[in-house]
Amino acid sequence: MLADDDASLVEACRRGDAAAWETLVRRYQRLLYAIPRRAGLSEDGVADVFQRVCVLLLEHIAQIKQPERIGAWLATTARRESWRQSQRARRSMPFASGEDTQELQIADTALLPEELVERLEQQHTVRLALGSLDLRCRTLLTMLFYQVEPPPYSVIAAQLGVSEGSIGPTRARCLQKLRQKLETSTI
Amino acid sequence: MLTPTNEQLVDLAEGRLGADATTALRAQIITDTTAQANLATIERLIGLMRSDTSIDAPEHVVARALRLMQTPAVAPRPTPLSRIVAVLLSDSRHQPLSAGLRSESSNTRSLIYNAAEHELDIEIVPRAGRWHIRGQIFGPELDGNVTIDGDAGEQNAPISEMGEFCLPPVETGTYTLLVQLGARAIVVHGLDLGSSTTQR
Repeated sequence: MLADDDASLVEACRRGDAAAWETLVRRYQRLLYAIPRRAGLSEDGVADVFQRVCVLLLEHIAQIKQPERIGAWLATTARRESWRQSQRARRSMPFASGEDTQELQIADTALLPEELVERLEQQHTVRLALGSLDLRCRTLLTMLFYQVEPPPYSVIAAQLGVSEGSIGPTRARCLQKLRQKLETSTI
Repeated sequence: MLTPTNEQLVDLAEGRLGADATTALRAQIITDTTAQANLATIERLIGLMRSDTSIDAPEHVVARALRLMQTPAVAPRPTPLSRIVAVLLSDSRHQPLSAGLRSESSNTRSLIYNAAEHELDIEIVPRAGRWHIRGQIFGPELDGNVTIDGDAGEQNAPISEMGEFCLPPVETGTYTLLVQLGARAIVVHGLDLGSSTTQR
């Protein structure tokens, strides 16, 4: 489902469809922002990587061999550009203070092992699938699993306007729907 | 034996069951491979959601990227083969030493080149009478390979996903380094390995 959507979007982008470009960028904006952030780059560095990846996407859209895997292409490109950005930052600060140097070394040595990027990509795919669920499931799963301190069932029930006793079964059904949405993805 | 319901498995994955109920349910599914697989999938899915700390990119960052992408689409043209001569930006052999460093503290020579949209970093290390060269290319395109060619022979190496390469060692001599990136080639002429670089 998600992969088909991506392939269609890439095709539309190749035809010069401006709306498709915007949809594609907005769909992956969170992932493109998450990867350089996890690399420890500064706010400006993160924004530069974001912009750079978008420009590369524009330049290479015609050559992307697996449009249905555009998410993986973007993740790999963001990882590479994050690494490059961190190298540039290091080169431009030859006499950095000890603290700054330490920060840059962290950005470099801990820089985005492949497993971490894969996990970020998977988290993003789950979010996309979640976004395609109905409002009730979306709200319920977000409250239960995306909040540091999930609220008690009574609060969730009040917000959804349902009985507290129905939250457990609804949650299980919503997770089932989410799994079905993800079936065609690599998760 | 009863197959656990989906709701029970979700309760188990979420840690909502008491100790006794957890033990009982785990014992129940110990021989039920389908239930075990379902539980593993639910645990993985919940784990991905709970560990997701990503945030939306600020709107001004997204808007700036979208503005950049509003360039009118043009029909792709066949790319002509191009050859770019790299320009030396920095050579550690000609740099003053940083405070506190002794001249013999490193025999690694670092060179930085610019070639249109690309930057090329090269490190040359003498070892056991031969020259070890590794480097990294920065730029919009990184798929390709690197060749070093000179009187004393030729070696080549692929460029990794991160733009890195490591050539097999070469003999003393003067070389041309060629970085082939699709239809583009970056050339470093007159790479001198030996005569004027201290070798241990």
